Amino acid sequence: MVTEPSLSDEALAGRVQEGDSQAFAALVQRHATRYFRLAYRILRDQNEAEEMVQTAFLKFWDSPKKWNPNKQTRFTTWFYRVLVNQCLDHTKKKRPHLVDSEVYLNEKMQTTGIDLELQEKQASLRQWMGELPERQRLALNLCFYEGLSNEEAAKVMGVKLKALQSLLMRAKSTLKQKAEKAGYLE
Amino acid sequence: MMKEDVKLEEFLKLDEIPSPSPFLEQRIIAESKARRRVGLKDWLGQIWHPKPILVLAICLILGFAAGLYPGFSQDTTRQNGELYYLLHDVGAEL
Repeated sequence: MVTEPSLSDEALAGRVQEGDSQAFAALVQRHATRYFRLAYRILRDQNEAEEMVQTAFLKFWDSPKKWNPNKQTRFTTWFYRVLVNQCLDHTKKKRPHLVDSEVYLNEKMQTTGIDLELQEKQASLRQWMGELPERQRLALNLCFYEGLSNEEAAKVMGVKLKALQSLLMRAKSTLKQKAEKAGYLE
Repeated sequence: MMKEDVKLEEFLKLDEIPSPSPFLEQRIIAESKARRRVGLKDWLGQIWHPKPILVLAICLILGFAAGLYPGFSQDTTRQNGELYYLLHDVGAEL
């Protein structure tokens, strides 16, 4: 079966449900990188993020009927939800991560002297992001970094729109306060 | 948008992340193909090496079919008659 590049994600997912491996390959090629970005922002580990993306895609390949086109949810939104749940389950199961201050110190030690100020800002930002409550961080990742609309992000997180907006506002407010205190927003 | 918000967004954009491995996509696609092949192999394996429970199930189905199919039991040929009673006996024993 030949897969046209112009097919929508939903059409491709429908073909995967009929066992079309080319449609599956097209979905992987189209979206693997964006899903990796989100998984990486949740896990902060390249290998684990790649593993999560691979597992999520293969779960869809094994059980494609789990995506229900009649529920009027875009395939990408549904898949974001699958991936997010999987990453959050993974973080609960795995050994305790390095605490944020340790990550911060490790990153500082790797500093080579080139653009120290920028690297310090980046390390601080990662540390503060890590300190945010999980749901606030996820809201920020979905809306700001992944560019999802508030409605889509709310669907991915399984919360109401108002709750999502509140999470987003609190996350930004916390980061803003910390950045101002450190003098990064001047 | 307020000036402070713009500054915050610029600050948030500093969080760069690495690119995924260039082989990530190929790995996922290759693994999906491998899974499909294993599935087919398993299915063939079951056909050629049926488990005892499968043999019993087939015997039972044949036994019931022999009993239900009217032309079968009325068949006067000696061979079919023997098969009929054999299958019935197997069904009864099970």
